[in-house]
Amino acid sequence: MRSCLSCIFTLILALVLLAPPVALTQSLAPGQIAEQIRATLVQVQLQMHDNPAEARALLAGVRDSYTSLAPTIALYASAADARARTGFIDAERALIADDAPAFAVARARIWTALLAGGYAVVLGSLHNGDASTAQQWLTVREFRHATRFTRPNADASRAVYNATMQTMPTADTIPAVQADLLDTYQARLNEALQILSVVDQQDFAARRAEAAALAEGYFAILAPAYAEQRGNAATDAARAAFVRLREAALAGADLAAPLATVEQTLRGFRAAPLSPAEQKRRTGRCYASCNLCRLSTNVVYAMVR
Amino acid sequence: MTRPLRLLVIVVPILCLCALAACSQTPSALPPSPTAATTIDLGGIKEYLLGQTRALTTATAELQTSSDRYYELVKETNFDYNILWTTRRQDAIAAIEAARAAWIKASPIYEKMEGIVAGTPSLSQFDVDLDAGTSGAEDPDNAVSFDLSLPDGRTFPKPGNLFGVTESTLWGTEPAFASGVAADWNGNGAIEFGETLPDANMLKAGADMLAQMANDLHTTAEAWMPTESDAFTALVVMVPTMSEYFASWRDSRFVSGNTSTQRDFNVISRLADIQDILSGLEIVYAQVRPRVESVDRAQAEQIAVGLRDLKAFVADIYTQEQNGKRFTPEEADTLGAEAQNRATAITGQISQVAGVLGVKIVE
Repeated sequence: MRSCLSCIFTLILALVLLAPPVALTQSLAPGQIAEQIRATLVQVQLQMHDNPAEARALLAGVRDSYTSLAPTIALYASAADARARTGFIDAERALIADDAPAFAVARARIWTALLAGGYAVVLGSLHNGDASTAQQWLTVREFRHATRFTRPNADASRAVYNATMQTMPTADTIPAVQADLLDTYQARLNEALQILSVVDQQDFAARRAEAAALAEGYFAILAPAYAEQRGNAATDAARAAFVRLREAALAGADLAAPLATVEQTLRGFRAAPLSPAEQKRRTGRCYASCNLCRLSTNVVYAMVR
Repeated sequence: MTRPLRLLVIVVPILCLCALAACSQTPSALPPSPTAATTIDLGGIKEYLLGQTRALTTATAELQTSSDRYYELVKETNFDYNILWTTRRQDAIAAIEAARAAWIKASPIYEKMEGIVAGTPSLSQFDVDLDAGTSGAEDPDNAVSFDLSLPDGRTFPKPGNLFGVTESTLWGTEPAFASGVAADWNGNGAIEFGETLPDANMLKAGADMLAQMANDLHTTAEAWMPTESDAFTALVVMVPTMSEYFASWRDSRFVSGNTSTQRDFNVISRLADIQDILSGLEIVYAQVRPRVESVDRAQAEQIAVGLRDLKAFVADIYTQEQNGKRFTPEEADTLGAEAQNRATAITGQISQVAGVLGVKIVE
């Protein structure tokens, strides 16, 4: 009887140990959780004035959701985890103070910390030869905004997919992932700065604060590449320029000088070299534009004649 | 059986099931391979499109009939709108209201298929001319392809898209399309939004051309054979157009009220249009979803959830608006940015899958 009980206990222990702890608490993919956090934070901001109780409940919920991502992010990017946690504290404070611009800053900080975390987990997993984790966490990312003429590329996804299919060595996927994601975040950084100028003219206080904080957050992701190219002192100065821009935006101060400093800081900086595929794509687009220009010139010339 | 043993007999299977469930949630080490063998039937997209094009031809024919009735009334007064307003006021209002009702019926029908029409290269010119193109004066690069010839011999070169032309004629938001006679419909001493006597020639020309183009679209749709590239392109092109729609909502009367100077989109809230467009795109995604699943089941689900949530997000704002909430321009801008962020995330994922599958997204 005793040996029978002992066997059963061993079986139970084995099953509990075999069951992945994350899976027991988390059925959603990291990308879905991150997106839920981002979208809910927007809802909190929209409700914080008219329905503060509901907003507080929503914020508590997303803070709880973050705990399912935090251990992995902290493992690969402790600074990003710290930024996210600070963001949640700031968000709570802003909520209590009914300060929408301050909440928008906290929201942008949390989101860009999640993006930084996702990027670090993907790269770290690939370095460790774990393509499956990289594929799961590659969904914690942003994309370039699609336009009528440009579409988000799929270089990172294709590379990681090939690694999971074991048709490409895991280490070989890293440059493609870096090029795709750094390029995306640099584009989003530039876009945030453009939006900042537009919403500043419209005097949209929360949108202005959010855009400046987003720019700061995107730069945090690009900062290692910036440091590699320009050194640590220049990177510290750039970080300080983004902080001043965010503070000015939050205070509703004149943005001309801090924005000019940030733009000067970024001049000539390219976070990731173009991947061969992207080089080919852009050359093709450029060639098509040139052909179009040549065609237009010929048509105009023929009409003039 | 002793009590501890009985307990174990109950507990062990439960724990086994928990462990198995947990294991089943863990992604497999290797994703399924996307193979050419995964064929998809895109017939549902065409069937949906033809359902809408048929309904549109009926609704635009009704608009044409009502517009003709108004035209005949005006013609009977020898195109003297003062006489019309003095002697045939109720008949004129009835004809205009019938035309407005037909327009309000036709417009959402088109929006439900706009995602497919505008996102499919071989059909997209219809979208420019029917619903999206600007006037030549406003933006020559994005202008419609046609000039509008009126029964009285006048021609309006590239006047803007046909739903916009007919809307602004019927509700009087474009002075050039109005008769110029003040028509105080409710007699309260003020000319309010919608109190107008349209230029009958403009209304007839716009309604005739709209009906003709609806028929042409139906004929073209019948001949169209949707490809996988068409479906993915429609999703990638049309899902990320949210900021554009929200901007026209922000600048319309629904947000800006009487300060709005926007000519179009003042009758049906753009929020309703967005929901209709997303409904059509959900149909498209449902058709290609098996292909997406062949790459990554979790991502396939994430895209579906993303589309559903985006639509619910817009529906919620629309419900608030219907219940009387008036959003400020900054709120509208924040909501537009959020919708765009969601749309960009969905589009990004679809693009990734298309890239892995080797499906060409037309640029």
